[in-house]
Amino acid sequence: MLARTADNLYWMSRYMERADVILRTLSNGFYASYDINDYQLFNWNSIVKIFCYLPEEALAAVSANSDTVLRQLLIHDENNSLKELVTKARENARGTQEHLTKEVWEAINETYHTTINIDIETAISAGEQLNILLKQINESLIYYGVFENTMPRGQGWNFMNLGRFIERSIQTLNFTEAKFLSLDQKDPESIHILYWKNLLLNLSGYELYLKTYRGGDHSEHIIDMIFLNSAFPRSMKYTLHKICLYIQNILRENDNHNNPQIERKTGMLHAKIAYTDLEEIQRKGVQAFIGELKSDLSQLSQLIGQSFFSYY
Amino acid sequence: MTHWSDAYLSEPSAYDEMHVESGTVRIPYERVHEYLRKYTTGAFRDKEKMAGNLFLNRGITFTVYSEKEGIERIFPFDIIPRIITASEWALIEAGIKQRLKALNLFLKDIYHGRQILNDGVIPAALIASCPHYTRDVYGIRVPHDIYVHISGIDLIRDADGTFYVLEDNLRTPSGVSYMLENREITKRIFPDLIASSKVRSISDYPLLLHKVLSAVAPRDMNNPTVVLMTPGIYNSAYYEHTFLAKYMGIELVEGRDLVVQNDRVYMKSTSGLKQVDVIYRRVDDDFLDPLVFRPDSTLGVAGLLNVCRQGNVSIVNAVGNGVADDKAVYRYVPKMIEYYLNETPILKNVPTYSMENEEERAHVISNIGKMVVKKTNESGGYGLLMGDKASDAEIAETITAINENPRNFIGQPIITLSTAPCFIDEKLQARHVDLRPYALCGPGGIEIVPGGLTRVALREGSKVVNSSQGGGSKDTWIVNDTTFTGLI
Repeated sequence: MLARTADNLYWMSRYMERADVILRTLSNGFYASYDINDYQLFNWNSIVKIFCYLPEEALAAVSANSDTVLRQLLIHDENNSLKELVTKARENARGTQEHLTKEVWEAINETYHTTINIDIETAISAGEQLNILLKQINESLIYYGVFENTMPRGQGWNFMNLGRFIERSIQTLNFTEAKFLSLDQKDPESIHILYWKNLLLNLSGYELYLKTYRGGDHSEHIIDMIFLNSAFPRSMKYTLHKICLYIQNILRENDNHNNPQIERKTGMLHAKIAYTDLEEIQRKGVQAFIGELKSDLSQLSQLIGQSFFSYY
Repeated sequence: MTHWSDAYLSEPSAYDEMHVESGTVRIPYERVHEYLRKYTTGAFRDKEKMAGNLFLNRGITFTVYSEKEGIERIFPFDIIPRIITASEWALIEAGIKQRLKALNLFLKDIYHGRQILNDGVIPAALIASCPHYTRDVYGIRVPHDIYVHISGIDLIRDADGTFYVLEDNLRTPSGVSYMLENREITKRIFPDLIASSKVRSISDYPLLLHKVLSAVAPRDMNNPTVVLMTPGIYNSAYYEHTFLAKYMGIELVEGRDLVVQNDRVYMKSTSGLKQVDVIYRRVDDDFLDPLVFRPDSTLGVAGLLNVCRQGNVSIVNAVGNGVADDKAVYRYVPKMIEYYLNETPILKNVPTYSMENEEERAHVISNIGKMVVKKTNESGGYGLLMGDKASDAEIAETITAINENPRNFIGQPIITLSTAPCFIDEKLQARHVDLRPYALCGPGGIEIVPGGLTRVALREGSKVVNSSQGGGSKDTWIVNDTTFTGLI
């Protein structure tokens, strides 16, 4: 496979995954902002901060209410908005169309057309913001369905999945980090499940959490769920397992002088989760552990870039 | 009450593909006629809208850069098919094959012995002054002596329905994906009509193309590496490049994906360098190799022509073909056919006046109202003056330019292109059309898929069909004569 093609597919997939997370976060945020309770004083600030770089003042202005957040995260021309992400994903897809199935290309292309045609002002004045979000989420689901069902399990599939799971693990870490940061100021004993609800919803894990964990310390359960629960498709255990799997496939198919180094790095990263337990993570401290994983992931993705995507 | 489709806005001076005269339909179009009568304008409007959405969702668009950034347009498509009968097609096919044979021999000759110039059939000065004559490829042998692997020869019909060759496109003719996609869209919007009309299939074009490309590989091997080279996503034909690469199952590369080492060309893959045998390039000669042609080109590959000279890669179409489809050389193609093949040309040329010949120049200038003046080195409908439509100032400007540099221009009498019915503004209206069949030339001979791209000048009265000048296209059906019950 051409190095440029692999690069395009990897990034296309990362952008699509990020776009999916933004949409879920926005729609959950919308619901949460209607729910006033003692445990979770919902504010958009920490969410907006995850996706875009804004100076403090601008951040405060954007986070003021749901509509300004929508304008920023959905239809802004840049700064990681849905529009920018989908446009970039489609540019990447266009550059490698011959490696995508017709169905995947058409799904991305249609997502692009609905995204650039979002009429946010009309929706706001009609109170139909959620409808827009749900429609876009539906497009995203179609993309994933078509991707699973039509893409051949070859090199393209491996690079796309690698991008998808690297992006996913980074997003899981980002969201968890933000939630644990604001936890520091609270007394852990008094933390109610409602404090964690939004994090779990953003990661599509609320229902699983309720089924799996009963009673006890929620923050401990959350650590277990986010890092160690292999049934949870956004946990570190699950995403790192997938990353390893696709990297192994890629290494098998491509004879690259960096292969041993990539293999070692991936193995070490995987072992950090595979051979640890709740106690050890708590001893290290959740923040420190997240920092370590993030830095490992960024090193790994750099190495992959150098090894497989260099064509200039 | 008359049906909407009977109120046909025709152009009386032109040959109409569907109507003999107002109200009388040619036999091949009877089915279409019946079909039109079955539906209301509203139904056709819906079909037209559906076709537009299908093009948009499939991403069959081109980007217009002269306007606001990011404007994507679909290539205008008229939903009513254009029909050509098998007997007409047989003539077209034979004529194009003959023409391509001669043009291939001409290219081989002009880059080797130049016998045709020595024999005085074509003036040497004409070739020497052709900007597309490429000295750098003189003497390079190409596999199987094939220069024109892919061509899109433009045909038109005059007022009595006779076919003429308007232009030979022997460099990087585009539009074949539209021919194929138009058919797919038509299957969606007129499934019953197309089924009952028994239209010949064109869908194996990408496979035939791949066969030709593999067959001209310089290495003798079973499975040569063939790539399609594109200028990139900003090229207006980019959709076509992805389409062809996808349906041939080959890599779509850009210049930056390729590199020359040890007189060989390689592509940069995820597992290192991989040798490339055949490059179907959709990059113009000028941009192909910055070491030989334009040094500022970032679209090409440095050293590519040298690899070609060493015989380690095949470039398709061959470099330097522009000398054979130069508008001033065009007039000599019938002579080439006689010279190389000793045959009478099957398809006619449009009479062409050389501006270097004083008598002919005077004739064109004094009759300029009935002439079309073309620049010899431009295509796509650019640099074209239609004498009957141009303003006095434009005419005066062109005459000055002709006198300054006669080699740059040719004159042709304006031919009233045939018209075909189009669904425009909810009415059936006549618009001028041409036809571009796509011929493939490999070691096994020349193959032409039965069909082609019918291009339509969508502006009322316009005879310029190029997409850059407001042209659109139609699906083109080749149907057996025996399908019809009556006489044609």
